[in-house]
Amino acid sequence: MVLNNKKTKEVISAYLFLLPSLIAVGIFVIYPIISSLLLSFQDWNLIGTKRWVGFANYKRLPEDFIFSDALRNTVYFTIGSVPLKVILALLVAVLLNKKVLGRNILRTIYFLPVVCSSVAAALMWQWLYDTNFGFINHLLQRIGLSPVPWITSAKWAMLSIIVVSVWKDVGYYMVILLAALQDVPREIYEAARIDGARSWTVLRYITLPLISPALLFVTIMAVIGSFQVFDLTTVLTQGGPGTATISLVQYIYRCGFQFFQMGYASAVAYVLFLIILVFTLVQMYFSKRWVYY
Amino acid sequence: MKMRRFLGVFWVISIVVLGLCFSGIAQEKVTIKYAFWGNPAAIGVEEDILKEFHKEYPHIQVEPIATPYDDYHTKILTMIAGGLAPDVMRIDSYYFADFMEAQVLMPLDDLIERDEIDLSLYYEIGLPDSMYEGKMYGLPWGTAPLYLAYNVKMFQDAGVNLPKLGWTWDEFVEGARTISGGEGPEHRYGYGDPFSLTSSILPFVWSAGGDIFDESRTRFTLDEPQAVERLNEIAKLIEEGVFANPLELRPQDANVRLMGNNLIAVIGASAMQILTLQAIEGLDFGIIHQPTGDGIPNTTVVKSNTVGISNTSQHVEEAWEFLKFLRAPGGPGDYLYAQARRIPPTSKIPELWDLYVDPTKPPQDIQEVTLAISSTYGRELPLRKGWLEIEGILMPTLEKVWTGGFDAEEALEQIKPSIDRVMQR
Repeated sequence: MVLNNKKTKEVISAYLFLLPSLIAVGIFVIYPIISSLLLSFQDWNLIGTKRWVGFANYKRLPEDFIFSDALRNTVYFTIGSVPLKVILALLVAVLLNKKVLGRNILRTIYFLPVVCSSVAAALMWQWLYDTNFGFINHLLQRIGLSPVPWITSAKWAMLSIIVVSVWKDVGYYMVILLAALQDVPREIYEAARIDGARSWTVLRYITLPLISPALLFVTIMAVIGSFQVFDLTTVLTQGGPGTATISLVQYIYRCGFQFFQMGYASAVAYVLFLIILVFTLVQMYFSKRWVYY
Repeated sequence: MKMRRFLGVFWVISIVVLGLCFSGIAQEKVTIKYAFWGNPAAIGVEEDILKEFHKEYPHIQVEPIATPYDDYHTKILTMIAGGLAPDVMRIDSYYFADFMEAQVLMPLDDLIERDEIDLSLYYEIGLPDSMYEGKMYGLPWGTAPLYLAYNVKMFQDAGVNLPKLGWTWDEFVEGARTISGGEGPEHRYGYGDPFSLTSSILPFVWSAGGDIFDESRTRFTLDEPQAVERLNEIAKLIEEGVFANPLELRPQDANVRLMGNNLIAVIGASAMQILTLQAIEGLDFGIIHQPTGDGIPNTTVVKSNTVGISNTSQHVEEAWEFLKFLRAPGGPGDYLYAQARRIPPTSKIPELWDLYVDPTKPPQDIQEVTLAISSTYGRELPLRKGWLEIEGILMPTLEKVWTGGFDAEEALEQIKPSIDRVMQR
């Protein structure tokens, strides 16, 4: 009896300590998520009366060519950028884990794009990519090549955005993987060296398995982040040329705040949520095969 | 002791009574909110107007809410949804129909009649953008054409006659072809514009006899032959390098900068962009209306916005006093805006033009061209509910036409169902 009272008091204390955070999460996360779900079944332009329309917003999605293009572009962006980010981040982390000259400066240099504002970075890259006056085309012309319409051609625009995104984010994932690498016990590497293991063998059979939880985290975060791309596509190309680079989040913003179709925007947002959820669950499922805790 | 107690109570009562008196006086002063958009250069004149208004009406305190244009209407909508609508607000004509469907502004006809505001002093072409279902819901603000600005030097160097009132599409294209030429970064274009519906596409389609909607604005007509032919012609001119690729001109005022560097001969120019052009050292430029079509003189967009009073304002009389000060024809606001050269005069008052035109800078004929556009060459936009959504569907599709991916007819056929759905909503 005494113990139960004590346990009850402990539980109550725990919840009381958690209460402020729970209230904040409730107000700023749970409530908007539920409201948005309800809104996706309604027609509302922010100031008029909300009108219940059932699944009409969702039924509209397959007929909406801009939604289809946005979905295709977002998947293309994710498939194009995530492997590059993870592999490059891993390579750089492995290299910067060794004792090289200027290691700390190099780590800072790789991390600098992460702390740079996305909008400022995109504006800078917009000028670098400019067809007539951009530095990249200037270099190409110097070596005898023709200028490339990096962000004004449907063929090149998304690739150009992927490059900027990889440049911007590699540093962030590198830091996470570097921390994981530094957690690997030195003795294991020494033992492997003594047994005559080569660098590639060490990487494949020791390093990668031991940092696999960090790799899983980085991959999941990179996928979630890629599906939510907005600032780069908005500033660099405004979703163009045509609909060649419009992303799902950009389209949600347009539907909600430019066309004032809040119900439809919520429907698109929920579809995006489901896509990210499915991708994450699939990744978590397959992680059992390659992640070692 | 009794005396002390008496004095204590006396002082307390006196303080309470005095406090009530002062709070009563303070209540006579009314605060209203005024929302408008503008960059730092534009906000200066609004502050001047408020200063003058406060001198004349010390009992009305106007609290300005300035927001950059891109976020302005979203912010206003959010404020309205949250029950915090500004008392007086400016609304862009693109959004007007949607806002009016939600009854955001109050009708002003009774107040206009009561205070004898002479609407005939406004340029007629600007009035419809402040009207909804036959009633006035605001006073016009910023009634101005979207001009074309031309680089005098580029025309003269190419031996092409400068544009004159009444110039036609054929003269425009022929001149643009003659001027265009050169290679790489030195390539000269006859015309360059980021290509919005209002600045280029509609004027060019109008000159061909086409339009985006029919007269009742209930049927989409941009897919009809005259419009399609003109859109394909524009795509060809871009492909040939006569018109600059609009996608290359996305950065803010890129076309203005290129014109300043003698690389684009003709650009679309709003009143604000004329101020930017005037700031370019050594640039001699003129302004003209959009090229006319065969028997179709009115091809230049004249756009007007509105300033109105919120339907939920608790201080209608005070808001109306401020609105009159700001926008009544010949009122202090009219003079201050003209003096600041923020917007061309909205009212037909000659002194305003004397204030607006800067005799030391081009274009010297801005009054003549503006009046000619207002009377002969101007046309109001066929705005309607859902305009922005229609534009949002149309523009990416037309970009595919400019980049050579699609024929205009093909492209418009693909999006017609989406546009029809918006129009039927």
